[in-house]
Amino acid sequence: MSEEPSPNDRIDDAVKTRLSRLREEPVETAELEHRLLALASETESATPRHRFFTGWRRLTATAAVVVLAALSGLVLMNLQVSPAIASPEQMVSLHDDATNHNPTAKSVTTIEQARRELVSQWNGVPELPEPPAGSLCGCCVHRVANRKVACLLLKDGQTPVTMMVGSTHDLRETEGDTREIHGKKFTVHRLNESRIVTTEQNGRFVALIGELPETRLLELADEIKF
Amino acid sequence: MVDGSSSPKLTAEQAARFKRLAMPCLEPLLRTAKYLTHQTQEAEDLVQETMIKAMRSIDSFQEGTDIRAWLMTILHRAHIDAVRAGKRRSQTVSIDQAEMDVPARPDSTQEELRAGNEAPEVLLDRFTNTEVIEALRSLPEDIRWTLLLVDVEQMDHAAAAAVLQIPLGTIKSRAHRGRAMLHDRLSGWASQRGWLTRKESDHV
Repeated sequence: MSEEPSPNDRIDDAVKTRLSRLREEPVETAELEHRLLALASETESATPRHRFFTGWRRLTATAAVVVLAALSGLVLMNLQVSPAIASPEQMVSLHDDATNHNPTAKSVTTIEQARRELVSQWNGVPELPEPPAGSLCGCCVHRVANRKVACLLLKDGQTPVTMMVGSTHDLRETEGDTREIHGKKFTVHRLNESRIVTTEQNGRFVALIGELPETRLLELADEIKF
Repeated sequence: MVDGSSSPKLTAEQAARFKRLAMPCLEPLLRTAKYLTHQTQEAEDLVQETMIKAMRSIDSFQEGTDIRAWLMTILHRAHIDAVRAGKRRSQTVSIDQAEMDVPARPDSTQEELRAGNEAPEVLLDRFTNTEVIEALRSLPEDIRWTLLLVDVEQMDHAAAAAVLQIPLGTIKSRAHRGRAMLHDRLSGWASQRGWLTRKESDHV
């Protein structure tokens, strides 16, 4: 004799099935996978280690380690302090990542929502300038040249545009054609169909990236409220 | 970048073993960490920390046993350590508190909602994955871990109990309780959105 499942059993089964479908959500593992494989590949030398150092050999080895550590520290400090250069290729790649099936992107329509969302993901998010009215549709935190940046995802009509915001302590723009509109200086880069307009304002490095005519992208850049 | 992200300096054999055994589990680990922390960067840091610990102790893993469960155990401990160290925000809601936090549904009871015309599977399908994840996130951490392992990652109860280091009976009761809590939370939202009305349930 078959029994009708109780309402609680139906709920139990339904929730279980619904949760199992969360596995269908795409998970972007490429960047982490790359980092982990690089770490795993830093293998020890195949030659056996000498376990015992004696006398001057131990002293020499210790001195060498100290010097190397100091040098590495200096190099590391220099690397951390110096801003990286954001190349057009890196910025277009960021735009592609940010706008194509980006699982980390959050849907927002106001700059306040974007600020809240980005701050929840990254404490050090720079002050966000206000994008052109009505264009904001999403946001995410991304990396360019191994530095964190905030991305505001915009739409100009149907064309996606990424507004990347970083700190000039972290990122600087590469040389390109310069334009001046209403007293503001912009730099323009071209890469295949993509156009990039960058500017540095009040300690922030801002780039607009999209497949739009250069003039249109400059108009949008001019509408940004810093 | 997490602390301790320096290279664990594996031998070539250890590196090969790690890549062969552990790397295929990256996706479930990252998914679990994402649903747990709700923050991509934190999730990546947590999984990176987990994988570095796994690299360092890859020799202690017994081949033929469940590598995913082994890695989930490390992830679970890493998460606990991180929460204790105050590095990550934790949903330290008690179970009782979470039950109290279910959005209020004036003039309707859980029984009425459960008895509504909307079949539970149909009701749950009306929510997006993001909303279900958000509801999951509002549950106490031990319940969330249970549902992530048992229902999302489809681990058997025994393996999930071993990961969380709790008795088998506890994992089963937590899974049932967690599903009911999740359903109640989503039903509350459905009611607030007008998807479930008293009128509907009164007809049943």
